[in-house]
Amino acid sequence: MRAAMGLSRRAVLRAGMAGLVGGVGAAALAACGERQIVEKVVTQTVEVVKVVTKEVPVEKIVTTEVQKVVTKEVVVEKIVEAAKERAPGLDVNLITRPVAIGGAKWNPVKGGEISYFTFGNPNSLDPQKWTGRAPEATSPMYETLYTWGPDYAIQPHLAAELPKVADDKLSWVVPLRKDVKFHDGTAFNADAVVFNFQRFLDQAATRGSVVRDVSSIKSAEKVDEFSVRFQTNGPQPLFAKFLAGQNPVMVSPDAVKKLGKDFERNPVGTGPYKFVSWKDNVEITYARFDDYKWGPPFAQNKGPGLADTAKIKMLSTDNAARAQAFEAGEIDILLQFTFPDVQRIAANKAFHVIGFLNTGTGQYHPMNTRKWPLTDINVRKALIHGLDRRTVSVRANGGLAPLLVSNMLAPGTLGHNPEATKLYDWNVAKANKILDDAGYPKKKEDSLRYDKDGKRLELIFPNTPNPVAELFKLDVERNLGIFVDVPNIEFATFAEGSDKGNYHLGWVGVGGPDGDVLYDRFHTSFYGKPGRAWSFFEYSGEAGKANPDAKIDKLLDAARGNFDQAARIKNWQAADLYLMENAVAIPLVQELLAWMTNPAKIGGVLFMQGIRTAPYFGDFYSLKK
Amino acid sequence: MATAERIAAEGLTTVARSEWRMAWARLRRNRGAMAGGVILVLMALVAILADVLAREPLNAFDIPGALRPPLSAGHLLGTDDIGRDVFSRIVRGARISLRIGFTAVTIAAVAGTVIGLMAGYFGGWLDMAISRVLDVMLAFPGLLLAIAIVASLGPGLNNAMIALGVAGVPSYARVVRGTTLTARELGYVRAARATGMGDGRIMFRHVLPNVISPILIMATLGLGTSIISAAGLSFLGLGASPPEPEWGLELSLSRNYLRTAWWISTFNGLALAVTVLSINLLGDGLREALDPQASSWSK
Repeated sequence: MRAAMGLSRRAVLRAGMAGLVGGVGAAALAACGERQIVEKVVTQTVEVVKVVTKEVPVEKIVTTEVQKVVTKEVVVEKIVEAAKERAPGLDVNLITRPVAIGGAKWNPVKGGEISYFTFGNPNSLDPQKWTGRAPEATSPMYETLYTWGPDYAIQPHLAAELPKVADDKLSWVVPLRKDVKFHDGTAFNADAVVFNFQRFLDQAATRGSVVRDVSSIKSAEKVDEFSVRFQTNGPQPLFAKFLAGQNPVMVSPDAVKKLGKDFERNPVGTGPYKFVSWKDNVEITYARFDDYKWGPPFAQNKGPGLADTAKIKMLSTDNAARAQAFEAGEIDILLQFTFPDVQRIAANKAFHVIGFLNTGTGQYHPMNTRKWPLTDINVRKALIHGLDRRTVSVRANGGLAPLLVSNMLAPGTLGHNPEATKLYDWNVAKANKILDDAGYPKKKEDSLRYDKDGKRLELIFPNTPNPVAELFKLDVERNLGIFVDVPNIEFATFAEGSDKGNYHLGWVGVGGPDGDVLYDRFHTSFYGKPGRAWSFFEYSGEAGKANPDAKIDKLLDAARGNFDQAARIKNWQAADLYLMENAVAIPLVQELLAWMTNPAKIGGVLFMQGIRTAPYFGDFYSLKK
Repeated sequence: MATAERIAAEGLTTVARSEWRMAWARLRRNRGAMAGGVILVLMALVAILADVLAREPLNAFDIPGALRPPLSAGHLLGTDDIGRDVFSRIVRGARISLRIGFTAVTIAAVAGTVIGLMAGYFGGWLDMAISRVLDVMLAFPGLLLAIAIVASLGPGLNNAMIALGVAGVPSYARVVRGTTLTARELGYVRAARATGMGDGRIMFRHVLPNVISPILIMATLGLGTSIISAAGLSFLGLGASPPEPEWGLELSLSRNYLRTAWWISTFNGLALAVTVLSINLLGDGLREALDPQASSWSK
């Protein structure tokens, strides 16, 4: 666009110059024919030409420099500014950084109680079986071999150091810490790790979320007392990242063998707190594990939990009720989604609201490219240009949504491509022109668009309920004249229907550090299977079967299978651009997750350990009197 | 034969006219019922004139003007979370709520009356079969039955109306059946049958007038219940879908703003409460007017 503007200015200047030359020349010729006067005119003309010649490159340089600054530094400032404008008092941070609660210095206090939250009752406390938000409820108790440190650095936790890959790239050796033991006294060693991974890899028994985290692993075997070799399914450069997920946590083999099915209600891990009790739909209570001394590298406190007791309280899924529980002092920290609550609590100086800017895809509307009228790329492009992202997302993400995004990978994500952000500006007039040119005129009677056969352009965007479907309808019908049907459909039914390609649009987002978050949303082998791969772009036509000709698969596979980080990023950037060029989704906003904290009751550091849904509990301390 | 029929019919008509006049006189003396009736008529007028009374087009929204309090410029009852005028939406919601109520009650009353008449009049295996089906349906709470029906039909306003209508059928059918059992043994009905009059004519000309009073009372009281139940279904996401300004749906969407924008839920809730209260007052008045002996207040 800038290039176009530059050319336009040049053209104007050239035309002006030509006019000036012509005009002056004509005037000179008309006035007199003396040689001396003609020379004077030429001199003036040269000066004009010089000005034009200089201005073009100068303009180019200035524009390019500003753009570079914007992508590298100004984005976060803009986000902070926009967020503060909407919720004064909100403290905006990158999710990759730890934040001190209340802005206070690290001043640990021993004893007392800290309380956190989860949504609803976990289905199990056994990582082999759990799904949903169970990892959040067990975060004080369980640990993984690797974890996420600040700025998405993978750090060893129960492992002694980062894994070493074999020459054939098909196996990794993980050295283990020698000073770890489970809460029941069972030794943490290679046997324990192999036991855990054999449980996860037991397809007949494993039904939980962990399946996805260990899908790259073929087998685990003991090398010696404190090292384990993992065979992988093909080269897996992101092996350590998979093990740093929140699901493959280490449990005590002795406890599992002894308790059998009862283990899920009497779990035993290695964390800074040990399990005490689980009251269904009320709370899970943990007590400090005094022998703990293997806190992760990023932790301020490497020793046992600082509080005597840590409680995870199960709160209602009702946003207003949760906010009330926090303000009433029932819990010390809460993740809240409703904008008015965030706004009100952020303005209250008694609380410290920490906003974490998430990486990954941001929130977006996948467009089903196999369902008319979205089969036409013009309609898809018009929707990206024409949808007012601020309006549509005002109820979503707590209504905060300070940064609108125009591509698939949000700023700060490895593989984010600034070029992809330039393809679509919010321009309703341009969107309408695309639709007009593509042969979808508006009818005067209802101001809606129809194709040449008189068929009305209609999109189905089920309300599950979600906070965006209604706003999408209002905005698209008003600005673009495309009818949107928002039937009320229960989420499970909607998800099943979307997997089959029954609807046009959905509303999703996936957090993660890098472009690999695109894999299970856009790799063609995921279409038609349960999940959130709903765009059906380059679909093979057969559920679960990859399309051998799909360019997106080649890019995503090339990234995932590459041991060179720079090459991985290059492929993710290419995938980001390719998806946007083909208009497969409408990007909305970068997620801003708002954690309410009560600095009068809890101190320490809030750190989300990368993409996990729960923070590290070892760095919290109680300030309750 | 024709004479007997005429006598029976004329006799009934005379009595009925007299009873209706007396009922109307009793109703007029009931201030609560009259107040309810006036409010209901006003609500009906609001529903009919919704497009005239509403200050803004149905789907007009204005994000910068969101969550304005009542009496803000141009917004008598404030604005909602996307800047829509709350008054305009409540006014349009009246149309939806009353339509749901009347439709559901009509479905329930018509179907229930026909089924009850047939069961009571014909008796025998038909009565037994219908009664057992009604027993099964009555074993479920009305709203639960409606939720089950919506679950099978799919969420939506029309399906909610059908579900509430179907869920209301057994109550009407049971009452009509009982009254019909008594009425079919009355002398003029037997006389009509003796004259060779057809079953259909006897049922609808001679038996039906006997069951009109209880149906009318049930329908009036059922109207309020239907409106509340429809709001409940919409609140649960099973009825109206956004952006329809249905009161229950508005209450559901405004829950998150209870502490910051009380006016959205309060005024929608008030509209719902006042409407249902007026219907209940009128219903109670009708019951006393049409069946004074059954009224506890009259004793």
